[in-house]
Amino acid sequence: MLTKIYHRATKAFFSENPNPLVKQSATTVAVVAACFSLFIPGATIVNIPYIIAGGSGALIALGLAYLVTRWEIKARTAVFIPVISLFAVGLFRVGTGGPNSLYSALIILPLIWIAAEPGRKYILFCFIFGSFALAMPFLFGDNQILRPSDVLRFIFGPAIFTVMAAIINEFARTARVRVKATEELVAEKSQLLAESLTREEEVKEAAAALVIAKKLTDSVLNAVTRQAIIGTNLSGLIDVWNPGAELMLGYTEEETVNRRYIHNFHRTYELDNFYKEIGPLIIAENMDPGFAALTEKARVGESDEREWTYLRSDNEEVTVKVAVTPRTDDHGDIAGYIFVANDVTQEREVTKLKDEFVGLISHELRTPLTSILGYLELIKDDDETELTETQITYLGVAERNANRLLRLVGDLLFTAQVESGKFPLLEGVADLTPILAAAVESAKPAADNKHVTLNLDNIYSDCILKGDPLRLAQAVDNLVSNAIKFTPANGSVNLSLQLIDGKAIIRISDTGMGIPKDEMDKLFSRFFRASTATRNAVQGVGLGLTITKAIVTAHGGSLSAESVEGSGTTFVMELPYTFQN
Amino acid sequence: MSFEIIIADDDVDIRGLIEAAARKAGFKVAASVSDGLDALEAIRTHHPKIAVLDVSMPGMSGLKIAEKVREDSTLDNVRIIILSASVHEAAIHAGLASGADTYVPKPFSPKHLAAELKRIAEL
Repeated sequence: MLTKIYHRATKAFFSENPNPLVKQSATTVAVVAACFSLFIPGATIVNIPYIIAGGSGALIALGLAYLVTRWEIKARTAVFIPVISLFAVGLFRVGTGGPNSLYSALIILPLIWIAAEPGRKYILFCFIFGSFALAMPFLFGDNQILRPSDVLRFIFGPAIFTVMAAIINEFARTARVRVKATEELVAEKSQLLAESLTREEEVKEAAAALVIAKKLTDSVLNAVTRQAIIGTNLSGLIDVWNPGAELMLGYTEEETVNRRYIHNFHRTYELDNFYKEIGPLIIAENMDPGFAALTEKARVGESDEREWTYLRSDNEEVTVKVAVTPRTDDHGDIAGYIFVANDVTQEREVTKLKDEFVGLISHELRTPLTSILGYLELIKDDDETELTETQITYLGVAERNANRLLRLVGDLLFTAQVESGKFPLLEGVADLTPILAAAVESAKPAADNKHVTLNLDNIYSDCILKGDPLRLAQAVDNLVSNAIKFTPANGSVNLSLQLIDGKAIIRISDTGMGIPKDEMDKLFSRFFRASTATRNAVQGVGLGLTITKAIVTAHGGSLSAESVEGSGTTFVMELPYTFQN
Repeated sequence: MSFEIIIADDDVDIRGLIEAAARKAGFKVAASVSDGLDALEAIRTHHPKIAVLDVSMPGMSGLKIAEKVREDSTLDNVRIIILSASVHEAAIHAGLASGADTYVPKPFSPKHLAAELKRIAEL
């Protein structure tokens, strides 16, 4: 119990800033205790009124201290309390014998408060008020005689008080400085702690996010079973091997990761050939040249996808299409490569079959057509037998239709080739001027038949560009014949050539039935026939524009159309035009 | 003097067309066969001026026959015309590369073939 009081008292007094109440209570308690001690037999009681005044003063001071604490008045102002307290103590001393009072030491208590205030002036105050307190018996008391020794007391007393006050003031100041420094350190520490906690939180979150991200990546990699996803480091050593790779190549992750190199799965001769193809490369010391060739394009940031042959664990070959991309680290430098491989053996098979089928069909259809057309010609050209007009006409009809069939076979074959990407184009030189002239020539009979005027608008004596003259002629013929087909009698078809900005622009416009606006986007698709065509029963199967567009695109050009239903249509063919010697 | 010609095609009607073209050009048909091996045999036997060979035939393809003929120095004077319904660029190149003197696509005009026969004979 006593230890508890002791601890609380120590805390109250020696804490950072004891409040006025606490500070005053020391003095008041001492004075009250002194009052009670007067009841001890032999105590010096000289003047009771002064004793009472002193005691009351101390209590009043306590009361004021309480109020000051309660109303939270500033410390500076509250310093009047120890002054009052000092007077009280002085009076008490006067009443208990003045200079001979046993309670002179009580003066020290209020002085401590005053001395501890921040500022050197309080040392002076201590000297002044301390001296006054000491002098009180001579000012108020019953004629105290001033003896020579009293003078000494007047010098020593205040001197000691002043020294004591100075020491206390300095201690208090140092304490204050230290406290301030400590407070600052504590604040800094709290802030650092808070920051480190936040950092810790952030790190935890980042780590958790990383785990989630890795889990996601892993699950994605593992979900892919139809494609091989293989990751390697900069020299080709495998570090990622997904289930798709295992299925495709027959090796497990344990057998490959950090044990095999990606180029081990390739056919050496394929890599060698490729290496020779792409020319000399600067290769690092330990890098396999095949691997270097494999990743060359990826290394410079270009996308790369090509076909390769992989060797499975059971020595079977697998044709794959491989896309190579680089992997970067957090500095943006290349840290490895990712290979995504698709098994295309099936695809290849199918394409091969399709090609074979198309070839077969075209052959099978052409053979009987050869006979039909051939024998028709023999009949016509028979020098021995004279044919009647009617017979000649009939033969003409048969021949025309056989040719129609032949053209259709050709178109079907062509679109099949376009589909599969195998496009037979002659890499030669074409002159547009004769091509356009020829197109008009060959279309004239049909145009005349329908009473459609056909005009050619070409100021250029030649217009030479890179390409396949036969195919280009086919494209132009197609558009011209379409124009005539879709133009009613007394209409006109105009064919023009312009050279603008390095492009040869061929325009074929007609005054025909036009194409409805909402059908324009389907215009070039296979077997598409505009409603205007079907409505007007215009002959055709819907392959012409597909073929024409394919030809133009293969030449690096573009084909577009503008049309107004009921008014006419214009097709614009743009081809890149380069001077040829 | 009329030149001799060997015809090889697995379609009987087309053989008839070629025969008509040959007659037009004033040639004599020494043999008209439907099998590749028979064709090679006939060429070796008759040493014709021209051999008109279809590419796709049972026994041996026209291309193979052309190669063999070119390999045989005794057949240096035999001219070869390859006939084919194939449109592939590659086929044409293959045909000419195998040693044929010209390539005629099907369908062909008998008149045109007759003219080609005359032209080739003069090479």
